Amino acid sequence: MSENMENTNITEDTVNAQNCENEIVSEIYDEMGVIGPDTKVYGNISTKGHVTILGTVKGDISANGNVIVKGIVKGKIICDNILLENANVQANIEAKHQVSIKDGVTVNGQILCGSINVRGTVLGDINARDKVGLAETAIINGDITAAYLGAALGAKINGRVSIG
Amino acid sequence: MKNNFTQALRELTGFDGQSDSSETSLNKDSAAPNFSEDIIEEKVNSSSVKTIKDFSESSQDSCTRITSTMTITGDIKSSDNVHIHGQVFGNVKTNATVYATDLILGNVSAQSGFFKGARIKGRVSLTDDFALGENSTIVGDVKCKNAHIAGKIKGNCDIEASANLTSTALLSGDIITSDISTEQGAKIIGSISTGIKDLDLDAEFDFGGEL
Repeated sequence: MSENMENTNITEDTVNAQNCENEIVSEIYDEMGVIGPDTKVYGNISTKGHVTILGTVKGDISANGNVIVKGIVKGKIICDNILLENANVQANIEAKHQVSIKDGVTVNGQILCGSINVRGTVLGDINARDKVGLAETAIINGDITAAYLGAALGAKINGRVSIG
Repeated sequence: MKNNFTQALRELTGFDGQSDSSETSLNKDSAAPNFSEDIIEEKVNSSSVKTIKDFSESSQDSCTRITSTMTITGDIKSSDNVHIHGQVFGNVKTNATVYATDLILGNVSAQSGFFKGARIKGRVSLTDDFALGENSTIVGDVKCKNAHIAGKIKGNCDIEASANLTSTALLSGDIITSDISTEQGAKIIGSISTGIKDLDLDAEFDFGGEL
């Protein structure tokens, strides 16, 4: 396996130390782990690379890289970037950078991130260091804290908003 | 020896050295979305924040792939192939094939199992074929239909059909099988029982009613 690791490109994390003083800048391995659509994991997953969840995970996910969820996750997710598409997520999400929530996706939990793009539903608070973008289909049932907020006509917010 | 193993795998199951190809595929772009090209970089607070534009290149494989830096602490249940190149601290159960090249601390239950450079501490129960590579170690009992063993096993082996031990095999435990072939150099510490399934010992050693 050591050969594998040598061959993989290690991308330098670009997180500014000022933005995450307490976080250890970790290296990201360019490899994509997959939990298949017919697979269930009852436990925690941790990886230095990326991971795609097509099946079910009942446990926490911790990835140095990106997480793509097209399945079911019940637990906590910590990652670099995250994309939720056709997903059912009951989890608190901590993303260093971007969170992207597609149409029809419901997130039941708090979200802490760099910036976020919502086309689906979030039942929980959103705390973004940078931008929050809400599409016309977005429904937020919780408080929003961000530096910038952009909301399309039709986006619904049920909660307190503090910007700047 | 590697060639022997691969050849044996092919002969056994038609398995085409996939653990090899899946390992190398980890390093290719196809396995992971190419974020670098599809990333819009924005300058915020003098730090470059990556924004994902397109995840669509994500792997569409239906199988499960645990990569080399991945650790799963818990059980995995699947009805598809499971490739384990990382570490699993828990049981693995699937209706298809398990390919493992790293560590599993837990029981493995599958249709077929191919282990290459793998370390497994737990019971391995397979309904079909079992292949253990040269640098692989299993501490636990093994149950399967056909076995090709080039690695080390500490535990009892219950093999329904044929067992094939190469010269590098080391078995510490009892073997029950219908058929066994061992290459010169294979080490076995334990008892071997072969062809006992339909054997009627009393009838075999019956001298008739005279004695």
